[in-house]
Amino acid sequence: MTTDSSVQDKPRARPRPRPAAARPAPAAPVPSAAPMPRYFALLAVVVFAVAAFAGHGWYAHRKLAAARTEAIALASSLAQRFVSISAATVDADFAAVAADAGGSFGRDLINGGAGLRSKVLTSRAQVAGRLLRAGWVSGGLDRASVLVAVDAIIRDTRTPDGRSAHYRLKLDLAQSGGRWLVTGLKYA
Amino acid sequence: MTRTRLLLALIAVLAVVAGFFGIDSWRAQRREAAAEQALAAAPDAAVALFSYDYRRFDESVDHGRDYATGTFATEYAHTTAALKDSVVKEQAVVTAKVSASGVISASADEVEVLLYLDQHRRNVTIKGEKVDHNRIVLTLVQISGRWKVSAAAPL
Repeated sequence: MTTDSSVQDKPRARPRPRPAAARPAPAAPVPSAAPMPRYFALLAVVVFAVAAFAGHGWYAHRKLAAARTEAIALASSLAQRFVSISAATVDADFAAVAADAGGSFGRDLINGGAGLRSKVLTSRAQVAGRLLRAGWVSGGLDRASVLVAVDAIIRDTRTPDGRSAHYRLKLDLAQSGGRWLVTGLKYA
Repeated sequence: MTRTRLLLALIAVLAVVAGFFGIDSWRAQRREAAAEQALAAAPDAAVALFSYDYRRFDESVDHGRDYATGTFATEYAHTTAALKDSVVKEQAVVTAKVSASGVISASADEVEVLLYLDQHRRNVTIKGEKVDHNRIVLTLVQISGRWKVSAAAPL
């Protein structure tokens, strides 16, 4: 009747032995956490040094490429302006060339400008230049030499219908105050 | 653990950055080297291609052809073959000289060069010597370690 007593009378279930795998393994010696980050830190320093070295080389290449691009652009633009001159706008045309001229070329413009201006006005010249191609000869960050091939149609009192002219120019450039100036221009 | 992961991430980022700088610089160096080599080779090629002498015409053409490649070599062979009779008849001698040259554009495999080329011409139809002041653009490509002309265009 009394279920409680019957339950109490039951022999107590002995705790089953747990399988060995389930037992907590004896604690293995854990290696110290410090050495691995130390190796990584050293590796990071080495990789950083390599990146810095490569970055320096990359920056130098970029700087030189940018200097070249700017020098070629200025040489091309100035060569075209140099051959494009018109009696109606002669002073403005000279000023446009003089703005990017320096060194001996700048001095030549000042010294020879009056004579050339007079010729342009007398012949009522009207010259339209057309840039063909430009090529880098030599140079670096401070100095450059560039070839510029330009064509022009010249109209004046002698040839009112116009005649074509083919120019082979060589320009020398130098850095001055953070920008390129054309310091020499000759017919090659 | 977190510190290790951070370091690994930093190393990975630095390696990628170093790789980018290194590869880009390497490409720029290859372009530079190609431009220098082609600029050095272009004047000799132009002189060989644009000079001839009626007394040694075939020899002149063979010398020029040595600097040409691809379809340009074929064009050069056709043009010079068509020119031979008149060159011999007029006893023409053309000597080309390069006064200046510059690089228009450059990749590792192909370089465009602008040349100022003077052709000194003598033949029985002209008195003395005439000089043509030319501007030409040569396209050079590297073939088995040598820079050869794959195109030539006058301006």
